[in-house]
Amino acid sequence: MKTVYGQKLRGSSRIPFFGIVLIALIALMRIVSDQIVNLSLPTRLQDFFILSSSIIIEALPFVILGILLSVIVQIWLPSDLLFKILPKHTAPRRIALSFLGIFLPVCECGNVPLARGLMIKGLTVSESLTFLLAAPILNPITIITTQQAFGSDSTILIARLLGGFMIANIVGWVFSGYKKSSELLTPEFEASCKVDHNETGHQHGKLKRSIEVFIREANVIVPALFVGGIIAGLVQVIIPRSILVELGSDPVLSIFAMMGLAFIVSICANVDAFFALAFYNTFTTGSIVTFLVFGPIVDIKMLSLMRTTYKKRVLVTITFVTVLVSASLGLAVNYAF
Amino acid sequence: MRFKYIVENYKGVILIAITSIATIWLGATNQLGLYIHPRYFGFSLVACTIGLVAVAYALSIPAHKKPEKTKLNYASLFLIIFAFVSLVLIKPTTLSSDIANQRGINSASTTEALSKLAEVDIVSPFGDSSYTQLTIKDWANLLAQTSDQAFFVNKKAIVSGFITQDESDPDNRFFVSRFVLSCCAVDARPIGVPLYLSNWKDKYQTDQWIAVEGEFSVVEGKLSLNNPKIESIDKPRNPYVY
Repeated sequence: MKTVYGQKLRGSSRIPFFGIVLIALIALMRIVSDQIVNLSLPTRLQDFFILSSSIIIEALPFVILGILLSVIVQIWLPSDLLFKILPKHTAPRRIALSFLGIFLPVCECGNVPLARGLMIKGLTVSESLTFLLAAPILNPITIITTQQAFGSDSTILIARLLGGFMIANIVGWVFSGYKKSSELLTPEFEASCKVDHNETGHQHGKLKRSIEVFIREANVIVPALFVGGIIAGLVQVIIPRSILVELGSDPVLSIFAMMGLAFIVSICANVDAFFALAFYNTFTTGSIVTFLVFGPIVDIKMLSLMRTTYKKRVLVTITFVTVLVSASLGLAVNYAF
Repeated sequence: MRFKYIVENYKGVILIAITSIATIWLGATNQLGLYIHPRYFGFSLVACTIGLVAVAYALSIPAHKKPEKTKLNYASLFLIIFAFVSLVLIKPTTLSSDIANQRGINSASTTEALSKLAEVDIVSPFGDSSYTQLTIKDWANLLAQTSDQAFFVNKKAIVSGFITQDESDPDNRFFVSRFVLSCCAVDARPIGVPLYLSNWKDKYQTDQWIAVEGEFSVVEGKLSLNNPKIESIDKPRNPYVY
């Protein structure tokens, strides 16, 4: 039996004593610290901890779900299942991938590990980007909540869906010309793709492999979520939101103000419509559309998560295309409707 | 060596463990609402429980790197310490009035209060007593949308919340305020009803929770509840509104 950190390893099918002991220890510390620790922090610092923690607590369940779906895709689904269903030609294939979110309605943070899993399974980088960018908007939960929030103004929902679809397919098309994935992917992720392909033939039990993939994805995605949460919390404490809100009635400035707000708030696409609804009376309709298209794709939390997998140049291009399309849509709505 | 090995090879797993335990503990002690909207409670608790099961099994699997080859990355250690401090050590609480001021009270609004107002008008066509059934959120929305001060004058409001000083006249004016949540504390939107009380800081302090009953009037050109009846209260179990 192998040993790790001094304890005898047990098979994954047996009772995981070390894990249970560690979990019990942390739980005990949480309960005890509530009774005996009373840290008196400066207000700003306390607000920072609450804001960062709330992003992490809200997003982590989606990340866990995304990692589990990624494990299912990588280990349990037959290799060719997805590729049998998808069209062979690249453009229709990207269009089909734009709608994959309808069947896998995970929020945007959960889509990152899922997109990684799909790439390991054989999706190209450009196809993974099309899925990743479209799925948070073109999914049933986002559509229902947007309809609930802005039912009286169908322009907003239509413009949002159109914007998400356009950005995902434009970005997918831009990167479809790259033949070498090494130009677009981080070396760490590329290496893990190769390791995974090499290991396909090994006699590992599927359960053990699933846990290994869980560890690998958790080690990459969860720290990135924490970094995103910490930065977003910090920015919220430092930058007064009221500066952005004052620009609400200007047809052009309001668009960029809402973009800035979406970037720092880093709110989940499934419910951002309810948040945007509060600005409906003070901000232009176009700027609301911009917020709803821009936010699910480019914000502090998402950039931090996407950086685990894609190179900086990819993130710069995504940001550029998203700014361009979401601002154009916002301006079109402001001046045409 | 063991410490470095565990931190570096299981950092994500440890972060999931800390966050999941904190989430489940917050749920068990009815404090999860301080961080996220109640619509997420069920999903969060189920996902975190599944996450903990996965964590327990993950910690029984050896990593590919051997213990003696592991170098400690201080960024990983920082994240684990941050998670431990923010989610295990710090007492859960609400956002402060600093954030309310920084985000601008009543800077956004919805129209739902207008439909409720129509109902109130139907119920009480000859008097204003029914206006007391309007919540702080309703009043905040009306104040944000209605510039006609005459509409509010002599109407009675009963609201509760924490004190946020009005930066335009910090000695004599403040808001009784709350945060509205759409998703989590990050998107919390401050709302409030303005109060006029000369030298209020002699009796009360910012962030203090109070219940207020008073009538609107225009004082020095500004609409506010003028010299209302104020009572100190404990912070409610769920301090946010939705």
